[in-house]
Amino acid sequence: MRVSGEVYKAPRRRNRPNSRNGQQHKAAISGRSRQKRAPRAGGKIGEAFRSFDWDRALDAIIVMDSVGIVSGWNEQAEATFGWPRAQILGKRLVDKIVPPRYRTAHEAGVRHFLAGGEGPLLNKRFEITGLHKDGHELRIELSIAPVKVGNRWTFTAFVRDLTESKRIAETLRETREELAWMSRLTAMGELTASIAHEIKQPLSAIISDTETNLYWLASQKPDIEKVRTITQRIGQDANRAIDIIGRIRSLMNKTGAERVPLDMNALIHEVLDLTAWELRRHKVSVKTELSSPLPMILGDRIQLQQVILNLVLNGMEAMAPVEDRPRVVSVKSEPHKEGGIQVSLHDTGIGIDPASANHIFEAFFTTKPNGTGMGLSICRSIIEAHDGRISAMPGNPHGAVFQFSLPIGG
Amino acid sequence: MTDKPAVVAVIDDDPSIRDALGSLFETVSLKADLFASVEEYLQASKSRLVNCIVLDVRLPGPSGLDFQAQLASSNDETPIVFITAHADIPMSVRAMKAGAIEFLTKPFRHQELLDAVRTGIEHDQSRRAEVQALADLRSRFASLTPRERQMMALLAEGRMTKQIAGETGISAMTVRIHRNQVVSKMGARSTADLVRMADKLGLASSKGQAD
Repeated sequence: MRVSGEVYKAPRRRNRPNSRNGQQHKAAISGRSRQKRAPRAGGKIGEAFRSFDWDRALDAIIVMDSVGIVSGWNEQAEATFGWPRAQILGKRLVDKIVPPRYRTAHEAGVRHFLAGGEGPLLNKRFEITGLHKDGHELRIELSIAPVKVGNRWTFTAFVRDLTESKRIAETLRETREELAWMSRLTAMGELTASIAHEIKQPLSAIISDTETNLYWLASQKPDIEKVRTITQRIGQDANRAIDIIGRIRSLMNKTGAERVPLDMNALIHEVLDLTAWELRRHKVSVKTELSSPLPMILGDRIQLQQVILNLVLNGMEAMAPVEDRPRVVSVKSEPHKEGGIQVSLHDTGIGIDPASANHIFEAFFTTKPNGTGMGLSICRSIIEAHDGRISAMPGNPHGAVFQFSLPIGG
Repeated sequence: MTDKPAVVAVIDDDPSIRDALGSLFETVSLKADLFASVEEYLQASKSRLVNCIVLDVRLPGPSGLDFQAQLASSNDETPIVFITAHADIPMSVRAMKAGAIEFLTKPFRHQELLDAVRTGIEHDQSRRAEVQALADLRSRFASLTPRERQMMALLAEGRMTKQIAGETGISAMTVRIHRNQVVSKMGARSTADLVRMADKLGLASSKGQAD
């Protein structure tokens, strides 16, 4: 940072577009008029600075004069924008590396600055879209240092191609989503019996009601009202089965995150429905204390259901060894004092070992023999992606409390 | 007893299943009371007669199997037909060993469930009839004088009139009078019938032990 600061402060004279070879260009860009204002840190840094080969800079460095003609273009600029130095020096910069839709604004900005106005984009970093020689656009980070040489302004731009870091961030996000999806599939796998049970209930009712209807219809004087009531119920049960399948499908699907308004209480109920059978199998009873109305929050339905699902299953597993007290998971929702909402799950399980409390949300940390150590870390990454907070603490008198809060904005 | 209409209690937390079963029992004119949980059932059943319970295995709170054990320990012999959406062999074995009438997996055929429930109701009604008969017998026995009870016990052991007279030091005539009185009060058709009653009341064995 310090070096670049000195660069843009170093007054630089001239830079004629006819400097065609690299050496000349390097000299031009490195600022020959350094003697006019020596670097404050003294001779040593000055030497290194003076002799620096700008073509070795990892950032693109571009110099443009006051009428918009390119007068400096290092190798990284060639790599970033695809223009060989020979083809761009002496040309109007705006025509080459500014996407057409931004050109008017670019030129207006330069004119405004030259007319004595402020340059709001000068001397700071910002992210912008650039244009490559082959026509594709790229995100770049840019800082521009204006330098007055004589009575004319010169602009030096330092450009960092963000394509790679964007790609890494994107890959990271995809990996996270993939991991969350895998963990969701694993959780759903554990719930197979529960899900089958959940779907079987309405279907069994439909089968029974159909048989009942047929019985009435075969009687001497069928009671049409009775048959109508039962038929309506068949329709409702069929819809219920469809809804369950839809919910399960969406949890099994690999979907990109989306922000929609959500009623957290509804999400909690859906997850508890899905896990009801499994919880009973583990002799776990559920208590809910859901504050209503609860502010709607913006968030990803599937991801937030996954958080609740992971926490419920986590609590259930924590209670498996417990025999001397009731196994209860208490789910509570309430408005958060800072706006948004807060959800807590209190189980009566084995509790949190104080030694591991700090690591409980870390990836691959597990105290379970068959745990992957991903469940809670995924919870945290989802909650944090929603700008929320998640924490764990020992329960009173036993067990553990997991608590997360989410802002309204999601 | 049997002329009272039979009542089935359905305990299932799923409203769809409950309603469907309610409609099913309506087709055979059985009165069905529907409950979402064991607690609900217990609240209501105190004042009501139930001849058969159709019980879901997995329930919120105590499970169906827990409830079966609970009833057994309180000597409530109401017959139970289990229904479950998810069959599990150890579970069904446990239920049947504990005296369940049937263990059905959803979806089941109506006839299967109706047959099981009918069996349950029959068991219950004959059991109730027996209980009632024994209670009647006990109250008749309670109406006997101490001397008459002694006579009945001796008769039940197969003693002849003269033996009884000898043992008790009263005249054979008096023994006969007492015996007729006992037979009449107990509503027995014969001395043999009286012996059977004494057996049911556990007189013969206790007397035997007392000797």
